[in-house]
Amino acid sequence: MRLRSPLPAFEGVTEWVNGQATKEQLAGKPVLVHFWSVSCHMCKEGLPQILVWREHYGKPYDLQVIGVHMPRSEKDTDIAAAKAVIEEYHLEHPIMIDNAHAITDAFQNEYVPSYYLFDAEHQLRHIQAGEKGLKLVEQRLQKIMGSTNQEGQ
Amino acid sequence: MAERLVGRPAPDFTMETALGNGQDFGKVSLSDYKGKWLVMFFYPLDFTFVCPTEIIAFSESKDIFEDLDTEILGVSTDSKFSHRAWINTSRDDNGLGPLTYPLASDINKTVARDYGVLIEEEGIALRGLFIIDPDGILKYQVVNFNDVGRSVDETVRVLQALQSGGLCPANWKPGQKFLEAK
Repeated sequence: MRLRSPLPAFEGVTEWVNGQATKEQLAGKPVLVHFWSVSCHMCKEGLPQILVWREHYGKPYDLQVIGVHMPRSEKDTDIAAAKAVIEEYHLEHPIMIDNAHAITDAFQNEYVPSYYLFDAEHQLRHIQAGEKGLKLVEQRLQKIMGSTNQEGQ
Repeated sequence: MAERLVGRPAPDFTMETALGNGQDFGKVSLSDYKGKWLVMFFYPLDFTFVCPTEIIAFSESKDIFEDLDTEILGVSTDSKFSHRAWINTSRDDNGLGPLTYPLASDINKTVARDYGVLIEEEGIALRGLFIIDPDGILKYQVVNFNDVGRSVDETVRVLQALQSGGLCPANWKPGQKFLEAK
């Protein structure tokens, strides 16, 4: 997916966990979409950080966090297993179970963990894959949040 | 016997610099870059032997490197005064013009030697480019003798790969049963 591309539609989702996010709800708000898999150990290590970001950027900047569970094998399509991890890590934001890879394909996503950051106009502003990318996502968040909010940091 | 550098703590350094504004001098040490990525490249000599193109290209890509949390440092065995004069020479006259990063003076040649890029008999550095991670570990080196310019794009590609860490690719695609069950 190229930078400045629009946020893809959430179509073909197998199941939503923690409620369904709609484009209408997200309009005018920056969106962070993160891909993960139950079979990806590194992804789980990054999940607590996502909670921190929601806490930190949710209120002042209205940052909306959406998860995508991307199965990497047949085994990963066990929805109960994904839900168990969601519960274990206290994730409360909407998460799409993407057993048909509909969202994965819409984002042309190849890796987990990966992070896609959209600004308030829903243009893609940053892509980051891999566990070491957390710090860089944070930097981009600050930059993009700062530019969408007059108060800045 | 050549010592391996990559994967080990980068050799320490402290050097005087000419800042990119063409006015001030400064000082840099490896420890200044702790917590950031550093791209450090060596080139032979100010004014001669060097096409300023690559030095300028890195300067003009400042935003890209900033997004990647990366600092740039150019190094040669010239004095800081020579660096400053070259920065103050216009690009039309084979000068650099203002830069967005400093040029460091390895005038006693210890840094080039420590990084294995010193041509001893000439007292100048080969073209070497090194990437040092936020913990001070040398993660990448490329060194060449002839006039091969270093590509900013390639450096960015390598940086992004180094910064990604572990990736779990999805090389599995859902079978028919998921595509039908809507």
